[in-house]
Amino acid sequence: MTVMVELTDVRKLYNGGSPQAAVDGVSLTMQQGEFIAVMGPSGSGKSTLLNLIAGLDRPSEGRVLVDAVDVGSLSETELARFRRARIGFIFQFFNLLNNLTVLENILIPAQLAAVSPTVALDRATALMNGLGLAEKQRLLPGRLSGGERQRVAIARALINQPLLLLADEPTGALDSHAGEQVMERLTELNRRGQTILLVTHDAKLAAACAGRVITLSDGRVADDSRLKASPEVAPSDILRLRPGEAAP
Amino acid sequence: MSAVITKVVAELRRRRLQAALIGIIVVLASGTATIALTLIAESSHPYDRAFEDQRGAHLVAFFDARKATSALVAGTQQLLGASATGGPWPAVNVPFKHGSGKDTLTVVGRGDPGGRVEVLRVTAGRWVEAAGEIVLTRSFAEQNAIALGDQITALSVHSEPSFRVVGEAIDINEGPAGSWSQSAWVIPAQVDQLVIPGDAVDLKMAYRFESAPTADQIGRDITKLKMGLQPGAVTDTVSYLDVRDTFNRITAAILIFLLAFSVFALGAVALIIANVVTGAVIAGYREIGIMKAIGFTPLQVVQIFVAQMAGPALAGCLVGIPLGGLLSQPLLNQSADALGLPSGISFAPWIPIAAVGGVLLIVVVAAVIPAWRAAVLNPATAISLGTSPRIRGRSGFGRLLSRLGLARPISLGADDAWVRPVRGGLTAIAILLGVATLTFAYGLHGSFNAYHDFAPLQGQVIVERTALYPDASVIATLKSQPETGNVVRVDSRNVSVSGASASVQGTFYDGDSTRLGWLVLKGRWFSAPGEAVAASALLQELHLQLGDSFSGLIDSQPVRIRIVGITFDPDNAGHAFIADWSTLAAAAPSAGASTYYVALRPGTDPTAFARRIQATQPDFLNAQVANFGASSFGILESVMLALVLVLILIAIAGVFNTVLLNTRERIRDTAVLKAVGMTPGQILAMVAVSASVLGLVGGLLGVPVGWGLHRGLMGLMGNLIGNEMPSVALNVFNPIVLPLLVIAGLVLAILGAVMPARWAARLSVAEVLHAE
Repeated sequence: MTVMVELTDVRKLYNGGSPQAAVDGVSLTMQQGEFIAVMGPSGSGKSTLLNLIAGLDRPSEGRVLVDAVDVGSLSETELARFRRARIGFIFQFFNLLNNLTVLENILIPAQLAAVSPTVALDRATALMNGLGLAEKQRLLPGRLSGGERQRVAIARALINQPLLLLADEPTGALDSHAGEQVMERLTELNRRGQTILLVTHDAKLAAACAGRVITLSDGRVADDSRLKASPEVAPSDILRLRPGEAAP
Repeated sequence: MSAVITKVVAELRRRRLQAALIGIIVVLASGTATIALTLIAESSHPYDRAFEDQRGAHLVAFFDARKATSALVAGTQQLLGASATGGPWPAVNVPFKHGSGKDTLTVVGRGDPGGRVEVLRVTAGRWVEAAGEIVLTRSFAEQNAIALGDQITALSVHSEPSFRVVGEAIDINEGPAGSWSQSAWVIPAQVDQLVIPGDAVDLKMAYRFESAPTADQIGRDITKLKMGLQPGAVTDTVSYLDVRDTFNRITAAILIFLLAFSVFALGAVALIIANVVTGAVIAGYREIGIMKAIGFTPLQVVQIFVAQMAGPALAGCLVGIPLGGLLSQPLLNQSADALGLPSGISFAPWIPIAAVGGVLLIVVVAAVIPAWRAAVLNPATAISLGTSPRIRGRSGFGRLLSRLGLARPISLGADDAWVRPVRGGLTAIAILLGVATLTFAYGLHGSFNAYHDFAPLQGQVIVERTALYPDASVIATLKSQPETGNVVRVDSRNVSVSGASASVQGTFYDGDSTRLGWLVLKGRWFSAPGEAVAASALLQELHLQLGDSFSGLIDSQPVRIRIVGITFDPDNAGHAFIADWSTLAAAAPSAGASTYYVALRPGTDPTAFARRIQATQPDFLNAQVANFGASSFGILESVMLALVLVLILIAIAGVFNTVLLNTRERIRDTAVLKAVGMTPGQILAMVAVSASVLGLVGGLLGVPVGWGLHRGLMGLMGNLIGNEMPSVALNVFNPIVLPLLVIAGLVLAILGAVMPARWAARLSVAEVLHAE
């Protein structure tokens, strides 16, 4: 198996009067094809960890390797190229560009990466067909439902065929039905070999999709457990793994 | 402290950059407004003000002392019913030598510069106290580079007495040196010693009337003087109207440009203030929603926003207005110097009031409208608009660029330019005004240079003789020089023409005048007796067409003149014609020339030639190389340069503000783009393109506007000097420079966008999206 992500003693400090560690000495590895869910309470450092892996933030200490690239050593321009080539990012609040149509939103990363227009359009069409967006391609995001917006965000994240898909609470702003649909898509993608790192509060989601759950607490890895490769893992199994939390 | 004040103070503390930006823009705005208002106020009637300050004479008359005694002259006050008089002062025309130059000055014996009429304002040094001292007009001293302490020599008497220049003064009853004969003042006892043998002393008398007389009244007063004294007693008269016209023509030309561009500057400033303030209010929608949610009334919300804008604006005014007042002083002084009028610190008290009032009015109106719109929204809507400002979808322009295969940052940037169409439009107008001013200034400079090229006699030598040296001797001297190519004898006469409001100046040439270099706009140069070329003002006044004739009187003898050509001749405001000597000789057979134009053979150094001619008779001849430069245009060029700089700064500030507001409003989109792989360089390019689109639009529209203004204002200037502007003075735009002027708009836009673009490129995606 190829190592996709390797974090070694990573710390991220924020200076707000006295420095505070959002991520505090985290070390972990992630193999290609894995689907990891990162869980933990608010302020535990989940999003910071995701930002560090995506190259949206730099570690204060330690090393973040993604596809054998030391993310912390890259310049701003190199980081942007790194992101567009290797990372797909799905945000909780979709973060679509409101003045671009569905198709234009999906195409943006490919256009920035100077992918040939024909290739980019083919990929976008395939993604839209696969995600049920073909009918909506000329609409602005404001005309879409939350679930549709998040599917557009997934298509945008996948247009450059990234090695690693990062999803930060992708169902957090969706109703349960739309959330389930989104997670089905992610599971399907993982089944086809896509490496996915998911940040979520939702133990049920983690149990349904992920093969491994990492639990953070106060910026540290409190638990790192592999689940059975079976869809029958119950949320209670995951919650039992999280220290300090009792099963309901 | 009320909740409103607490909130205003807190907001000002929190939004320091916004407050600073408003403050800086208002400093520029109020400074510009102050400069513009001061220049307009001070330039509108500078002569009238100086005339009142120095109790100018409405009429000045010179009397031959042999025919009118001092007592008789003094008694003319009652004859004319003048409310006050000055004089009689002894006066005599005296040729002077100063360095290498020679000029005839009217030397007046006057013990005191004050008095009830024609007060002389001493601007440097002091008044004369003893024999051998002289005070010159400031205009004459400056034109001839004569400093205090210099010696000038009187050539009227054999003893050639020297005078030390002890002071410079401004006489409001004479025009600037170069276009008007100049006075000089000595102690009264010394005037008699300067009289040319056989000549006599004149007595100068200055009259001031209760109310300013009309031209007709002045004419009647002159007739009364002539009728009341023995024939020939009145040797010369000067009406204040003639002096005033000379000044007002120059002032009006300057004023046209000032007004046009002051309006430009004020308009641009209003646009930018409106842009800054509305942008700040729009950015505060969320805040407005929250305030309403916790109990502020709509009126209180408006008060808070208006106070947030008005506070920094007032601070900006407190800096900008004194600064503008200060910066306008050198321009005013230069303007006064160009006119030969008194200068000094001048700042009308209404100007700061108007500037503060105008700027605050714009700020308040610009703040109230969007703040009120936001204040009447329900809190939930205001909060949601605050996080996601209402902006329209993409323009067709961005899509077109995208389809053309341009890089994505470029098409996105092109779209961003018009994401807020009103803001983009106002900014494009500010750039348009900057580029139009730059284009106009370029055209004006080209026209002045063109005048230098098409002015007649350029590079030829002008020789003048005093009455003591005979005409024939001058001709003999000139023709004996091997370098002399062509000599033209010149005499000018006032010609009485029925139908003309004032006397017409006729200039007569003896010799081959076709080589003098006069520009003939229509028709041809004269070639026969009775034929003439004239400036367009004369034709208009007499309702003549090319080929028409008019009648006039030269020395009471009738002449008939046929206009065969129209030339560019600003002398006497275009009420002038040029004809062959034979035309003059027919009416005045004894006429003699006092001026000679000498064209030299190729390769001759005109300066050396002039020096040599002068050296042959240093006391009687004055030789100079003709060089009609752009010195009198200096003030216009300075003012234009200042306005170009101000308007360019305003345009850059406008772009900075717009790009800053746009990038702030779209910070989330920029962060998303960065997150999906847009490099800092691509973000810089995107922001620069958004500004460049505005710059390009401003440039493309600004160049034709500037070009049209140049043609329009040059035409107006031509009307003022009584001439049709020749095409060489209008067609001064180099086809290579026009695209460069368009690009100037682009450069202005990019300069304004650099800082906000860098901020956008450096933003932290994690922080922005986390804050969202």
